[in-house]
Amino acid sequence: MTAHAGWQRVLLAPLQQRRNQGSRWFWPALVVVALLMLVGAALLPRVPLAWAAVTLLATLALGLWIALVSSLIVQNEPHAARLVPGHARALRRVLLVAGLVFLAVAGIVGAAFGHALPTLGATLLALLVVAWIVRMPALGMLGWIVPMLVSRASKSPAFEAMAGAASDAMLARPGWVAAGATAALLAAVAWSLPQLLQGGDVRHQRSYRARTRLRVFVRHGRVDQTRWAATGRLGCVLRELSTWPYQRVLARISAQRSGDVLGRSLVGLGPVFHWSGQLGSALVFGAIGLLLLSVVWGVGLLGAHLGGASGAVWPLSLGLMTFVVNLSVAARTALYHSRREQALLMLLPGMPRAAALNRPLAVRLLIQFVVTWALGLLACAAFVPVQARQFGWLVTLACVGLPWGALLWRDWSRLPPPSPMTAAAPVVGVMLLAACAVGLQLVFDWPVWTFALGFVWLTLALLAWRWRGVAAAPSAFPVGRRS
Amino acid sequence: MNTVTTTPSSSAGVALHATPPDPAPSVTASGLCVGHGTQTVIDGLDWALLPGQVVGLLGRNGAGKTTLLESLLGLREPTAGTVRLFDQPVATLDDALRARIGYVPQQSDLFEWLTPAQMLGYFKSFYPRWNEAKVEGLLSKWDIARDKRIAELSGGQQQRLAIVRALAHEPDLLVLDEPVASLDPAGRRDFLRELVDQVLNRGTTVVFSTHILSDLERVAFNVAFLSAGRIAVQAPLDELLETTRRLIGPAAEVQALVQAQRMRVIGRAALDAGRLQVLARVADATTPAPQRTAAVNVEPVTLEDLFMGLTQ
Amino acid sequence: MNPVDLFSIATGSSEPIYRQLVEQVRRFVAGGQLRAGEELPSVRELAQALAVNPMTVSKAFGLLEADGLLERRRGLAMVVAPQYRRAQPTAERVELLRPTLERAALEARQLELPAAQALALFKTLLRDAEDDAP
Repeated sequence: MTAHAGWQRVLLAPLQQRRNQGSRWFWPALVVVALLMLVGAALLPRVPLAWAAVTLLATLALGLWIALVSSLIVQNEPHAARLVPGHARALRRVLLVAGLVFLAVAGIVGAAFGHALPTLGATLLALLVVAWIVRMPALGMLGWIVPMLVSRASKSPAFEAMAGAASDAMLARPGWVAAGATAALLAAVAWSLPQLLQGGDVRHQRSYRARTRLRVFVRHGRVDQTRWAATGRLGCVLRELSTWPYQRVLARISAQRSGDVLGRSLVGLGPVFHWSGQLGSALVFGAIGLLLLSVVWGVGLLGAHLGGASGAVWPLSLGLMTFVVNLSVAARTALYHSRREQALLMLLPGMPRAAALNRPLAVRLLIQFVVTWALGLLACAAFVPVQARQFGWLVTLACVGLPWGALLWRDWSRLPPPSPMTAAAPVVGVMLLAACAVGLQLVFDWPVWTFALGFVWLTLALLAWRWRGVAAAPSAFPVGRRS
Repeated sequence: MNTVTTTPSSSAGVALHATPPDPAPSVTASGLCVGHGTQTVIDGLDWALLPGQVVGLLGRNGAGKTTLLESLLGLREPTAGTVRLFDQPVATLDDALRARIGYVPQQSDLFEWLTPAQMLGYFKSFYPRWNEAKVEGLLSKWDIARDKRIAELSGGQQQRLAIVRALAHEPDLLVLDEPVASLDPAGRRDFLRELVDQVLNRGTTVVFSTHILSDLERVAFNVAFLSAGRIAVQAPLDELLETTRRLIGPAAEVQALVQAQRMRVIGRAALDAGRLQVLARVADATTPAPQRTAAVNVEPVTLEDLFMGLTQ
Repeated sequence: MNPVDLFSIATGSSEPIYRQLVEQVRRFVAGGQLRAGEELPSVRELAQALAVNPMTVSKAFGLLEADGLLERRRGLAMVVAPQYRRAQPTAERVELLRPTLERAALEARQLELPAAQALALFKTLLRDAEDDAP
């Protein structure tokens, strides 16, 4: 075994990780996304091919940067950082060198277009921001509040006055601006490096544990129950509130001694899976989201403030599509993670087996999916008036997520464990379908509703095709026992 | 006064001497083959458990103990062979029989979002027979908080709770997969005491897999060794210890002695320099075991020796 | 002393547990810790105390009963058979005393006591033991 230098070892790790753990769909997915972007850029008029190529390059570079930073952060394990000699140093060196390489490339490309310095500055900023979002995903999730607040504040006259004064000052002394900006950026880099890749102290350990919990949550949809207490009183209160409907349902079925065994057994799979738990969390977190929206965005119900503003439709549709797709993914991971409970449930008297289990279960899953989809659509539709043309698009794009509900009907006894691709692949697929729909509509100018109907028909066809497979498969529970 | 009656048939897994006709076995596996993907874990296994037997299943890590126990309960489909519980195929057990089965899986942190009171109340609604008094008694005796989430209980408490859940509906067949793995020695003794107390009075058939040989010695009357995907030996433990000897010596002498005494070889391992180590049983408990000769060393065996020699 | 506390078993030995119990009862009866007519703990009590399978204890007791060492009484715990003591010849019982006496002789020699004084002490003690026994 050759002894690798520190940095070689550090760089090898992401490759090995990809080889060992990566899904075989990663490269095809990446290629498809890149092609999509190229095609999209080529289709849009007034966009020179050079710009399209640059955008593609930038996206790929950004993807590579994200992969590198996340791998480095995973390698930055607190015990290794403290106890393995030179480990933390090697990691930071790799990050610095990689950053410089990216900057160099960006500088060259920028110089080719004649805007070297602004490109460099923008790239450095982008690299920093992305690295920080990878390190603390909470930033990415909540950070959008800041631009929203700024955009709201920008409507006020005081802000405009301040902005005017600042831009005047900057235009008067460009040299100072450049120097100041550079100094600020350099300071940001110097401060960021040891914070991004920490050295194994107590704060590092805490942040590492938090990241692990988040990774488990995102990948498996499973919250480490013992940690709820650590989120404090607020966390406990939220948990109690969001599981209140589930607790009521549980109490009711525990009291009854007869009735639909399958329905009662599904309660045993937990609030993550059961409709009552999902209802509870949707209500609680929806209410919180609504509160945030109304405070930050000044949005009221029924599109009162948006009025004819069509700009909200696209982010809403995007959100709705990914939400719908995540429904099927979440059901799948919830089923996988409750497989040991399912083993106990299969031993309950009255529990059906084989087709008698699979068919009702399939129907229930589908109903749960469709109802949640419809409710999500209604919730989004509350912000867009019906008459607007965009409403049709909203519904159509919502229907894009429907065929993924058909994926719920499968041989569950062969369910593989969830991987990062499990969540990512449907999102990519949905984007693909949506892009196709939009593209076709632009090219052929068919009415929007045809697409909606098309997707519904596709869903029904998939369901019909899979129905027989579901009935012929072995008992769904416990899931994932065969491979 | 002891209320358990010991019949010869309930203490003999594989009868070495004439016994009255056995009652119908509570668990029968014939020709069972179970695989994970392309590997076969259980390969042509035949097994029968009689009512009232307490059987300890021993095997190395990865030998397939959990797979076997899951297959016995119908939680895993075999690729070949059949399993019958109480003389019904396990794939189509009717409800009355399923109410007579209790299972304690290896992981004990199940239903971790519920409190013990909620979890037990939930299960109670499914079973026709539920001994609430016993549940309350055990919960108090083992000091399990009823209204604390299971996720917040310690590992030992969780395991005990799983056992309470399995015993509550008074099963006739109890399957335990490493039930005491995360209990400390005091807890293990306590649990085994309780288990034996609770189940023996009712003549429950108990199968449990464990690594901890001392527990097995105390509690199990029969042991079964799982090796190479089959049950290598199943016999009452006492009989096994008394009739098995370890013979070590030059290969030829050892084999000659085995044949002369008409012993049955159950495990063999070749040692260096042409010597052979053999675990062999005499025909029955009444036959005296051979004494050591000049060439061959004959030693009694402990359960650990049997474990090392019979499981590969 | 509670008879239950007399018993102990060792796991991991080549002797099955029931055989360990059988031998222990034999030694206690021969050694006097269990007197003739004394009640043994019930099967369940002993099994609970030692954390073993009651069937094992029951098997041990059954063997001892077959040997005549124990007697079963209807509805009550087993007792040591009263006739057993008389059945065992004196010569055998004297031999059981040998190890203790050997130790006493060794100590007497170490203390450089003359044999006559040691024997006188022994006689006194025997007389006292007889007086104490009912």
